[in-house]
Amino acid sequence: MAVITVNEEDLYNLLGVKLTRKNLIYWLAMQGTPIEREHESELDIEVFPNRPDMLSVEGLARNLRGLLNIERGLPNYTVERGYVQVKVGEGMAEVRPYIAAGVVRDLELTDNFVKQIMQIQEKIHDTHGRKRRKVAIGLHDLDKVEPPFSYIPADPEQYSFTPLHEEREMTLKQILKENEKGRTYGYILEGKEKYPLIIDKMDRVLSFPPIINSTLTEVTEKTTNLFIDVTGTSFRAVNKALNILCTMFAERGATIESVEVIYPKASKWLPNLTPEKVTLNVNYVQKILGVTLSKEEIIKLLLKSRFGVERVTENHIEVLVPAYRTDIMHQIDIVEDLAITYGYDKFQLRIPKIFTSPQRNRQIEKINELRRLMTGMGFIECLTFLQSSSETLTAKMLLPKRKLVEIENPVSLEYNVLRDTLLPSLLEVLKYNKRYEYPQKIFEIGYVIKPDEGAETGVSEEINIAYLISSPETTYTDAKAVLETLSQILNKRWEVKEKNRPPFLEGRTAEILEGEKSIGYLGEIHPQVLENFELTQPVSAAEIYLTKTLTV
Amino acid sequence: MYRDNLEVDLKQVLKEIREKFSLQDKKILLAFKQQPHTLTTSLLVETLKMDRSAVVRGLLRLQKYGIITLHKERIKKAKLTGEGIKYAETHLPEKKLLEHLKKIGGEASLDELKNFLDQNTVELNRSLGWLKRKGLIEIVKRNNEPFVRLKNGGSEFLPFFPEETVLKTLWRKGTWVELPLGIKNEEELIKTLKRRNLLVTKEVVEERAELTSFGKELLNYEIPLKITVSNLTPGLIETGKWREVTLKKYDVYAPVAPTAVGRLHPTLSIADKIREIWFDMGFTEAIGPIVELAFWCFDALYQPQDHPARELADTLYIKNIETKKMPPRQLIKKVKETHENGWVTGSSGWRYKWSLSEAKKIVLRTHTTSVSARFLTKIKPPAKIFSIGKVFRRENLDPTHLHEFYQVEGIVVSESVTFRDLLGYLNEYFSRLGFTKTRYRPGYFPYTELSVEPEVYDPERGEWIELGGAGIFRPEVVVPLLGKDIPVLAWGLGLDRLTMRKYNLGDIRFPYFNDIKWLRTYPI
Repeated sequence: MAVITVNEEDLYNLLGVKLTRKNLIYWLAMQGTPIEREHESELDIEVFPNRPDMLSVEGLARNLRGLLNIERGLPNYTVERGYVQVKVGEGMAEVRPYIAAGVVRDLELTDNFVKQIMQIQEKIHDTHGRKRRKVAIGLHDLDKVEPPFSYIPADPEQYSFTPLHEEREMTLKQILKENEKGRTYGYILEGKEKYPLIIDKMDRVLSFPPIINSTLTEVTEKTTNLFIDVTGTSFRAVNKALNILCTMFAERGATIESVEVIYPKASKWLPNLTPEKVTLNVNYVQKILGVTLSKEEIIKLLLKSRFGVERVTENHIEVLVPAYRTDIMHQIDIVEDLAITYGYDKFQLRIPKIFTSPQRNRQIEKINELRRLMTGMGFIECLTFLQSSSETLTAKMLLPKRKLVEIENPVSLEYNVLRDTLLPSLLEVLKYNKRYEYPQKIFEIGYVIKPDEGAETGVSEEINIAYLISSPETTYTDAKAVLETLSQILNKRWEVKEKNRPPFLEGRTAEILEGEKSIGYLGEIHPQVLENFELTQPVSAAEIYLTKTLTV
Repeated sequence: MYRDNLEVDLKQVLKEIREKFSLQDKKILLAFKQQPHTLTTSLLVETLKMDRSAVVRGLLRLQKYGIITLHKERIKKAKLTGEGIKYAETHLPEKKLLEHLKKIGGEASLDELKNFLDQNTVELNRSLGWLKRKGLIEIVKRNNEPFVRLKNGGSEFLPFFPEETVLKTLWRKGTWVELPLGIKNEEELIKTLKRRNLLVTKEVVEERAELTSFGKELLNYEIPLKITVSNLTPGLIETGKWREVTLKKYDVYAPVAPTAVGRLHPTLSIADKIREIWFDMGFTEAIGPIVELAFWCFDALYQPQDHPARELADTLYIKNIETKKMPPRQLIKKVKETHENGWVTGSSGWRYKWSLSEAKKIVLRTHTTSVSARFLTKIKPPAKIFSIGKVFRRENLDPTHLHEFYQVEGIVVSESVTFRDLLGYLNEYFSRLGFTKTRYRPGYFPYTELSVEPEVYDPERGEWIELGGAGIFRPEVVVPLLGKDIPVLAWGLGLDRLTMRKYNLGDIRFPYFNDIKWLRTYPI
């Protein structure tokens, strides 16, 4: 989730109108950029990942001007033909294949603007850029270096330069090891023989993407001309990022100038701000929204949504999509923008009459009856997590090590496996409740997960019931009494067979059998187990494999 | 019976009487309190309205303790006849006649008197005979007619009829009254009345009990009729002894520990309620795997393979387990092409190289939307399906985050549904949950377009609560799974936040602590 901070006044300046804060917050929410927090002069605003073009106040204002009917249609940006070239060296395909580049001139850097520039870089890196792996941006003071530039695969030890915020020259290898950014993003270059590097005519280093820029091209308040490089693994993604940045600068009055990016086999003039075309079906709009909109109304909404409109036929509208939009894959994406512009709060709610006969899940119904039966016997229902720890499931229960379903990236060691038995979680519950009066009678009906090679997902998911009675006097008899009741009411012929098994006490535990089939265990919990769970009151308990016995 | 140490004995006997004597025994004992401290068995039977055998048993018991002595005695008893009773209730006829004569002037003809006694000639003759014998009247003749006249012209006062005293005493005391009654000339009067056939007598052998001096001493102490017990017991009820005891008064204000109750977990109770809401609206319940293929959790839902939500930082992956059964190859191909270039969905796709190995990974489902994805391949529209289940995110647990929580999933598949219907269903659901104010804001989810973030208003806290996400499934989701582009309304809504709000909890983890005190006492 990306949250950006904008200055309220700055936003009003870019909008060209001033709103009350309440009104502003409403419109921000209705365009899909809800407020996250309010400060005195600033607002934290959430931007959804499909709209990186709104990761700056400039982008937000551009969209909002349409919604507020201040400015309509496709934003018009001119790209002047420049002279800067970027030559892509042979072998970049294996290192970091794509680079897009552009130049912006006549910048007037204000504090707010600088903050937005830093912010959008960071946010694009995190979201659209997939933590710089897919897209990384570098901004440079163009006047400090001499084009043409080269994007080359460099030997990690051959080149050295002074990275931003460092005071000495370092080799690329050193940077990955010793510089903070190098350590953070170095994994992206793991296993590469060569590292990507952007150098100027004089072999001076501008940037070591996606890690860090050189101090040489550091942008300061005196910078007026910028060179933008965007490198990454997706041609489309790097170009979209370039488009977002260039148009953002243009929103502040800068001039966009194109750069010729020369790949070994082709060359392109970038940024390419030519809008893409999507055909919108008028009937489709109505079918999805459930609102009768005339073609003219649709066109009006399109323009307010900052789309361009071309070639209108009876049922179709050719929609021009701004080059900074990354999210339009299908006409449904345009329909959503229309709905947002129309206003989600203007739709009249409706419930269709679609007859369908509700079907209850018989297993769930049966289990729900069982839950009520347990409460009828005075047991309190508990709800615990499926995630547990291997320590709790084995050592603490005196149970042998066995194959458990393990989590590769657990939240913590406390939750590194999925439980295959309910009893441990319920013993934890008793531990939590030690300060309350006894007897305590608890139960849970829940899933247990075990490895199962034959299953689709490699695991079996079964439902167990476990019940525990903790009191100074409880014995095996208490657990058996409940079992008798369950057996009778479920119309089962359950029998017990003496069999020792942890976590129960030898000679005071039995296996529950349905015919030949083992369907659970009951008994008194072993004092060692009680000690492991820091319990001081005796516990009698049972766990029954419901999936194995409840036929529905 | 002679006793050495009266003090000790008294106390001991009193204690035994209070604790062990039956109510009847005590009643018998207390009957001796009255002068002259002597009673017969029959008298006790009569006055205490008890079985004779119980009285006899009681007396023997008192005798054993030296409270009374018993001896046999011949006793004469009398009982009124029907006529005797009649006169005892009113007056003897002679007395009535006499009074009448006095009232009418002391003289009357026989006919007149006959009228007065309702033509009862027998009674008249007998009464006249009695009065004459007592010398109270005389018969004279006038004009050859007999007249009755008071002797002496009728004295100032009415003569005393002692027979009546006997009749009335017997009548008051009941049947077979023990004689003597203690009336003057009683023996003669009884004889007379017997002769007149107004009573009969008999002689019986009776047990007579007499209070000893020890008994008299004993009766100076208080002997409560009933013993006090703290609780009603089955024994008391079965033996009927509850009649003989007084239950100790309870301190109704004393604090007591509340009943230990068995109850359902609040979160699951809410889930039960939600289940009924969807059933009411015609939805069918679905369940699906918790441990799920990335294919169903993400790929089938058009979530690109490099999407941040699929990263290790967000999604919990299962280690060392492989799937042996991937979905049909045809379906995989459709999903792959949709991701790469949009296939036939009219979309550009995500424009990247889709990898099967990424889809084969096994995850803890991050949403129950995977259940909906699976069902889309099986259903025939129109269909309405819901699912309630656990979902998992790689979140550190804190008061506002859980790594495992509940989601309420639902889809409506029909040619005729629109965005307005989506909002309508959501609104209906929320209003059935008790939220009267709802609002719908644009949202973003990779698998829906249009996407909505529904919010409900909590009037108690004066704030809007986000309750999950909703939308219309993208064609890139629907076409590969269902085979054609039909609107599929979908939502994945929170449940744990409903528990928090309903029970005013400040920590979303709290219900999972299973605090027994709370589970026992949470309000209905």
